[in-house]
Amino acid sequence: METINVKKRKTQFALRKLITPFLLIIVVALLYSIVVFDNWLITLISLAIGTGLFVAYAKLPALKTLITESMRKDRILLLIVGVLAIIAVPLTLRTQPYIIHILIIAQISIILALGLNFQVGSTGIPNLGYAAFYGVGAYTSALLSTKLGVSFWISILLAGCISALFGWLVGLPTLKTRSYHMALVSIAFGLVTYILLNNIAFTGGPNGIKNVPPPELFGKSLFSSLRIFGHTFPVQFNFYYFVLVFVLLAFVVSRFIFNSKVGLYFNAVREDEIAAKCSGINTSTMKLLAFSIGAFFAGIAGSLYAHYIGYISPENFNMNTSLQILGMVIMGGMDNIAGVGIGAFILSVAPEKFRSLADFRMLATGLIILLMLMFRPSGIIKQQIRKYSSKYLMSENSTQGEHHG
Amino acid sequence: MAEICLSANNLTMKFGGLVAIDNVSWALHQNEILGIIGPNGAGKTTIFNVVSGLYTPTSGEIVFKSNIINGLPPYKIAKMGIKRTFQQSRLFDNISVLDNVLVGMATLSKGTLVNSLFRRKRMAKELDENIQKSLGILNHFSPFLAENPYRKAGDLVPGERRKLEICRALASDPDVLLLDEPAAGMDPNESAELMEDILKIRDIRKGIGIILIEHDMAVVQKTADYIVVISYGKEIARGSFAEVSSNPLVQEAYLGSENENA
Amino acid sequence: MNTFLQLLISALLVSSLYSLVAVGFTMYVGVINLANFSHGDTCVLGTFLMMPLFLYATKLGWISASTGLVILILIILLIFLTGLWGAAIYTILVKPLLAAPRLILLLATVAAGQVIREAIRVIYPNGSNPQVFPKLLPSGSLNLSGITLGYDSLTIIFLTIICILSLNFIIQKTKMGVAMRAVSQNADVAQMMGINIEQTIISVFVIGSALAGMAGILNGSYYGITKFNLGSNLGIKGFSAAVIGGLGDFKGAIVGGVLLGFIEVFAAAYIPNGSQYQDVFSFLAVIAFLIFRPSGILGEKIFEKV
Repeated sequence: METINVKKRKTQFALRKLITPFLLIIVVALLYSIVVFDNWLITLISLAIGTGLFVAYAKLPALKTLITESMRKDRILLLIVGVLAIIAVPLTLRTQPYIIHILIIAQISIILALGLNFQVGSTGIPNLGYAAFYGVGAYTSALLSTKLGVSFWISILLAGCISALFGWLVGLPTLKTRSYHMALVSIAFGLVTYILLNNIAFTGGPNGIKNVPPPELFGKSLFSSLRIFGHTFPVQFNFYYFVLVFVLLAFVVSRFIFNSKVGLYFNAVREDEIAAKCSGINTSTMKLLAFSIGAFFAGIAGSLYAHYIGYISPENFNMNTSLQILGMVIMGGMDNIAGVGIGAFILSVAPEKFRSLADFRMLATGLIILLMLMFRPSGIIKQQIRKYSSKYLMSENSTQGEHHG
Repeated sequence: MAEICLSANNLTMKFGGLVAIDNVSWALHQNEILGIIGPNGAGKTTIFNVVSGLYTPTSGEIVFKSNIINGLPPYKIAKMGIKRTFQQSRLFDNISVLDNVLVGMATLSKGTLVNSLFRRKRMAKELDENIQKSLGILNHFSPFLAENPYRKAGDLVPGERRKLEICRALASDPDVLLLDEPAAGMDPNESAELMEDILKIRDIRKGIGIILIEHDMAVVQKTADYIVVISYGKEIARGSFAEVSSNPLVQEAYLGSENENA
Repeated sequence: MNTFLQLLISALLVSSLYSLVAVGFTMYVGVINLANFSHGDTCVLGTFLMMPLFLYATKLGWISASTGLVILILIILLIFLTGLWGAAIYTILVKPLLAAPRLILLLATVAAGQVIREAIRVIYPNGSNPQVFPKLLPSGSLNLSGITLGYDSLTIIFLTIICILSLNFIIQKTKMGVAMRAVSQNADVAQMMGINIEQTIISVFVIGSALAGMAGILNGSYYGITKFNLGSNLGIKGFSAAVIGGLGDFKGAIVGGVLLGFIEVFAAAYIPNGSQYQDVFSFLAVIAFLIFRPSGILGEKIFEKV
């Protein structure tokens, strides 16, 4: 009897150890097939499998605890593999620059979605004209570098700041009004920006701005291809790592703000504005801050886009773009940083794979937002309860009370 | 007599043609529980909304520690030391019990916003102290809340919600606490417990003045030191519970309102 | 002077369309405090439902026979259909989300608008391009001492006035109208008084969407054209008009619509290059109202319920 039990436990133990590697293989395989294969059927099947696994994970509590626990145990392994994968991916795609291009666009989308998340997710303010802030950033940076010859680094900083200033200005008229007024003002701002960009000669009208110079790093243009060990790498290769730095910064800053008091007060404004006021929070300041920070992110993303693609026009920053970014935030999980990143990744990579169905892209975006809001408003990863590492809190025991559902 | 900490002088609040508060005056002393009672629709909650800065009074003044505070925004009034609860509890439902209390401490922070973002070490220490204090307050009113600081506020039962709301208001050591019908919708057992809680507040915060708006006469009788009765926005009586409850005007106002429900 | 009068007629025409859209917006806000951002797309849906109906009627040879009557029947049928659509939007989309935070519901209506727009574009043959919309309104014009009054403009203004007057009658005089006003004052009390809240809300959605459908086909037949994405602009203008008039205020919505129509038409005429920027002017007007008079042109100061 005894020995059988021990044996059983041993095999169980061994099996448990395999869970994380097994998961990793599945995730990497799925990601690889979604990202790399240029065949919409394979992407569709992979997405379906991924969704199925996710639903199983969400609906089966036993599986959920098993996976969460093994992931917690092996988090260092996960981290190492994750970092290696992110660094190594372009190396494997040397001959497929287009796929690296898709990944760069996904990176820019992640920055955008993280920015919008401050407003829609953390503070609960609808912003339906977010693409306009993206556009303000892109145009600021492009104009500065093409008309005045300002360097990339100054341009991107000014792009972020001017966009943040616009965020602050757009927030102003709606401080004393309700959420649907904010929705209206943001749509109006989006439309006005679009109309102005199209009609002002200075911004190039509908033709936009061409020949935006690429950033320079250590005196070398990012458009010069890298040669390592006799292999030539496409220019996308440079940009991938370049933008990656900004993505990591965006994550760090988002996390930082989320964990600070400011993040907590954002949530208080979202949950109940009147109670927040009466608790001593200056809700106007918080809303303006959420608007400015979000717009700053959009401005940075816009600048990166302009200098990467080299050509911008008003069409890049219309209402559809706003809705796509909104979809990323809602799908990923409002007020959950990791979730928003995942949402941005999926919603920017998947459409590229369904190019033959490009006509349905905006319909699909609308349907995804609608279905998510109706059936899983918390998104792929729902917002987490803030945990504090204080000596006064018994961290393990007190998590028991957390609501599962 | 203790010092007056908050008083209203000839307070009037009109909404268009409707006079919600009509020339009402009262004074709240330190360590006192002042009951403001009256039938439904008498204008009790409006008084709190004016005091806490949500409305600006049409005329009259509210004096707090010899400063006139009417017209100030709610967050400034909260910062000065006047905190309140709401009739239908207004908790931050999707964040934790602990976070609710930490938001209640917003007025305590010495650091500015910039500090909270960049002075990490000092902020970490402050946070640690705040957590300790929060748990202390929670424990005072409900050991259950103190043991479950990470529970979502939205998942609490009504009794715990009310307690958490009081904890949130008390977290910043206010000088005045406004309790808006805390016994609304409670059974006799719950309101008995509530009365104890209200009396407890004075133990943890010495010198605090409490204004209690209440419909439930038993709660008022047990807790309030002094009572002002208003009906249709006007004061109709004041004094101890025994005095006001024997007042024929008060009896008429209460009986007359039993049938209407507006 | 003549140009001025001519502009006046154009302004009234635009105002009529905006008012019809704004009334629906303001009613939704009044009854369930919801800004329905799919409302503008309901207008366009109306035009795309009308075109096949009209085509079918032409095929059957009805149009040439007794045009006026057939068109009237078609319009009534369309109002019925868009009204039904309103009921569907409420039942499928709004009702399940009423308990959710308002932000979720608001975003859901935005997404619903996007779905309507894109579904039209994808499903309707050649839907990405502008479609020729049938002339439902009488052609020709009246010439009064140098001013040309198109019969189509006059019909639109006339029909709008009829719609608004009958809606006003419904709100003021009928039992349904009393219920609507009661629910918008205080839903809890209304329920205690025995008013069927659900039925009242549905009727508001039916009426609002029917008027939106009406606005859509009037807009379509005046300009002779419709396109899948016209609804965003029409919806935002309607919502702006409702905000200018004070959300929840029926008369305000009409005043707001008129004001917005006048701003747009006169700005386009009298400001150099104004026609390019007419949308900018109307949005500036809305923002000015939000800053200086957030409760709207007729509205009294809003006191939030605590």
